[in-house]
Amino acid sequence: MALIKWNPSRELLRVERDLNRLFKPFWDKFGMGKTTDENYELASWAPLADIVENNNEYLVKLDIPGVDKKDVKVSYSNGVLSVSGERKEEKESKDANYYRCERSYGKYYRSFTLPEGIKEDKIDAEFKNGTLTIVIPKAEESKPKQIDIKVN
Amino acid sequence: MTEVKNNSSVDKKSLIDEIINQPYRIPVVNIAEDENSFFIVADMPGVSKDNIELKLENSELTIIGKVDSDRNNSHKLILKEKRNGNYIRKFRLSDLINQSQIEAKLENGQLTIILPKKESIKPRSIEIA
Repeated sequence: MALIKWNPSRELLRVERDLNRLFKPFWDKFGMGKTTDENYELASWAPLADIVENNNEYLVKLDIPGVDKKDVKVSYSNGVLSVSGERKEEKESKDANYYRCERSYGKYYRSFTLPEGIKEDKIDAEFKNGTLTIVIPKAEESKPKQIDIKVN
Repeated sequence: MTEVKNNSSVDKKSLIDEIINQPYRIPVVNIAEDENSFFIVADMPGVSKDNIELKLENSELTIIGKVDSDRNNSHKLILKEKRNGNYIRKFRLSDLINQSQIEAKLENGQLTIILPKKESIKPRSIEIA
């Protein structure tokens, strides 16, 4: 068995999930229950993200190194953008002994609640050199407008 | 062998000289060993094949990766979790390693270095005459 580095964010994920589970019957009773995503339930780590914006778009950038393009799933539903997948342990060190293990393995999950005023159907994602860039274009009406004031 | 390929690489400055004054971060690694080799696996997201360099000097292996410059310099920051900068990390190699046979590959921002052990120290069975 390989040693896995203790990752504080994993503990936080667990606390969050435990609390969600604790309050679920209560929420369900009042019709406020969220359907829990299976990917979220099983995730063991979360990739780090940067989010930037300009007048035209939001960019969400995530570091997911060592993962194949086909193991990255980006989805959007009900205003929530989620990224999930799995990072597998590489083959050549399957029966090797570890000296150091600083990297995270297993299923990952990350989700973002997107603001109003975006073009949902135009969300685009690109995966290159282990970084995932998601482009979320802003809708026309939410872009800042220049208003000319005529002075008579 | 007469043909000299890659003439330009002679003039090319080392990547380390190019990025030495820029901010850098230390990539996270796994280090493992099996019967035949040692393995170093490093996470270097954002580094392409052209921007990576491995240097071996006095049994010290340096991995250098330059992150492709971002296209979003004009963007406003909303959330910042990732560290900025290029990647540099040094390793002192053990005497057991056959330094001429080191191999490396970069896939999806993950660098894998295979460091084979010297033949003389590999386990083997001794025939009894």
